[in-house]
Amino acid sequence: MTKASGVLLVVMFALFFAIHVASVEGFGVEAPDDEPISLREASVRGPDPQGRIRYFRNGGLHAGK
Amino acid sequence: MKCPSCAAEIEVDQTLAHLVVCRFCDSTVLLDDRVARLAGKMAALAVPRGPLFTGAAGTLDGKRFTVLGRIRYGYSAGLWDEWFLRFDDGTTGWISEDGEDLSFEVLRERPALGLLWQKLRPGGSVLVEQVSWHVDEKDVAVCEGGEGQLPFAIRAGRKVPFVELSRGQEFATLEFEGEGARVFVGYRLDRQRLALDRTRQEAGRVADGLEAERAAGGEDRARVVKGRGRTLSIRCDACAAPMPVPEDAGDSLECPSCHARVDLAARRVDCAKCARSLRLAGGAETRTVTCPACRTVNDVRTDEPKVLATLAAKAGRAPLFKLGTGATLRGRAYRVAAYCRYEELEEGVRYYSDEYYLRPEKGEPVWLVTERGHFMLKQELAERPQDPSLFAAEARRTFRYGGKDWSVFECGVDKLIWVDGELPWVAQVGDPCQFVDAIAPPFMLSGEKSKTEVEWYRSEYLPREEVAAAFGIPEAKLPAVNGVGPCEPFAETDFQRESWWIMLAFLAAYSLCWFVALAETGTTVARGTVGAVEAAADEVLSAPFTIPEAGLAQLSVHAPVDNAWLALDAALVDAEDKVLLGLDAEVDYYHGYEGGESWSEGSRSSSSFFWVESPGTYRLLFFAVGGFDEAAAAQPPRVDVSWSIETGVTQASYYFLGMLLTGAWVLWGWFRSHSFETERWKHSDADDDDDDD
Repeated sequence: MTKASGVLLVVMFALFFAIHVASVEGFGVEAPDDEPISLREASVRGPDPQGRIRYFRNGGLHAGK
Repeated sequence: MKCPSCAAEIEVDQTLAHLVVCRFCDSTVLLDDRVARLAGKMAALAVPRGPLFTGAAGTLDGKRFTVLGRIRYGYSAGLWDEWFLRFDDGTTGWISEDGEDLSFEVLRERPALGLLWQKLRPGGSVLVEQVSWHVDEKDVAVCEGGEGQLPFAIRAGRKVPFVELSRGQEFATLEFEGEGARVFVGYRLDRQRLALDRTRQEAGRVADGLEAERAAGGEDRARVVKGRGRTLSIRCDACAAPMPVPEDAGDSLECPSCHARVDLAARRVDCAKCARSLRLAGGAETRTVTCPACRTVNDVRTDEPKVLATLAAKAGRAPLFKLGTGATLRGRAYRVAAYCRYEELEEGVRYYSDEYYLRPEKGEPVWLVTERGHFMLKQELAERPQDPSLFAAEARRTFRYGGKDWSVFECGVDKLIWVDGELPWVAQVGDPCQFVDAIAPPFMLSGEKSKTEVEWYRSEYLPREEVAAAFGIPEAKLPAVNGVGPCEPFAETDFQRESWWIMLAFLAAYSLCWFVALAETGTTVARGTVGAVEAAADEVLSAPFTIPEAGLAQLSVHAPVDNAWLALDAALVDAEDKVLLGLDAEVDYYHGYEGGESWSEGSRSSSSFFWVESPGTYRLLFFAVGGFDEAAAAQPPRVDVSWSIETGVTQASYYFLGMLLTGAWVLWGWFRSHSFETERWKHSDADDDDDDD
């Protein structure tokens, strides 16, 4: 085996390991917010006479910020 | 016994010899049970080129022998000698010597009966003593004469139809005489297996009379033929003027007309048409020579040449390598002895190939073949493929030979249209010859079938730089390359080859992981249903559910929309009503019938991955927006959306990226190779077959 092929083999093994870890450990997926907002708090902002939940209608994650 | 003609003492093995030629007076003496009787004079034979001579002693594969006699035969392609051997253990055998080719055979006791020479064909097969043999050659030999002691009667001038057979390493000859055929069976002989006690000079067996002299100390340099003390003359190489040769002439002589120095040591003949003196560098081995002055191809098996053909000027062209040029190929020195051009006519188009006959100082000669700018080194095979159907095989048909798998590349008929220089066989200019080429790059197997024989050759592809270096010329002086050569190996570096296999292995690994990830459904920890209309009017919280473990989780959604779309926002809420993260899922499905065909697009299912920091109790908050066209409707489709949460899942997308990367590498390598092979086979019969389709 040539030296270059040996280097390629090592690189490919490393890449395979990295991809496997990323796949199993959820790399790039939605993770919990560091400062999660209270649902009640998000809901009370904005007019809703019946006091229904308005999390999404108030902007979702940014509703309380 | 004493010779009945000259009373000289001649050696006779009474148990073996049936005919003896007196070496002093050339009288032929037939021996039977009771009396020895004269049977005329035997023609004097030319001195043989090889080391064997009548009376020689030596060993063959460790067995001691004595050469008792010789028979010389002439045939369409030249001459050969048959040496009769007596071994010390009382057995006998024959060594056949045709130029550099030797074979050893033993005469079978019983002749083969019931075989008809007329019915045998080169390339066909024949049963001899219940064993099938391949017919390599069929021709009629003329007995030119004999010397010494022979086990059967011969007559100079008698025609002997013969066939040469082969079966793997074995070799056989049938000589047809009367109602049966003499059967000789043996094998091709390597010169290394033969050892003589003394050379001809050491044994004092120099020629006299009308036979050629040999210069002392130099077996290869024959002097001009002299006859019994009578001075002959030759013609000057430069001006063709006659030059008398005195008896005390040395190795060279000055022409009295043009004062050129003429080499007397080489064999020379006069062209049969224009009488120009032709010096034969190959000496007694040369059987064909082309006169450079009048382009007549001469048969020079004897010193009285005959015209074989006169070449048409338009058929020739200046050879790439001039005659006499030296070259060092694969560590061996050669000289260009001849140049031949072949023409194949196929569907009205003429194709040409050129071959250079390279003669080494010692060892087997080779051919340098060039076609479309590609070069191959070609050598004759002793052990040949035995399947006659190969000459009519379709392209790409495979067969096994010599431990390799070969693919038929091309079959056809070509003919020799041009010869320059000297050849060791009689060239049949203009005669058609069937051929087949099969490849196992970088090698090619070539079969050539003429009226009288089948020959096989093995060629190896030569890189252009190697050919240029061999002849000491720049590579730019070689003809330009056209396409891929028939047996040109696919050029790839070790890294290219190894990396392809490495990437293929990882492609397989990524593919397997991708399939496993897709198939893995995980463990469903929660499921529920939410009405789309309800979720559009209000933000709906699901019932609480438990996620038992931290890690990667997946929200799967299914909504039976029909020609509509639905966008679902979802948020994960913990037990303290804190919104941890947001997800979204979109489903749409449209279908119809247009132009007589149904169509559909979109998917009614969707999924999103998310990360769970810690196990616990959670709820999902949903909000839906949907419609039936691009704009969101006041009310979304009236469907129930089924949702579920799975844990223990794996993302497949990164494995897919790995597949793309490695797949691209593998595909590129395959594409290069495939393009190369497509280009190679473009010049084969396979391409013609595809065209017909």
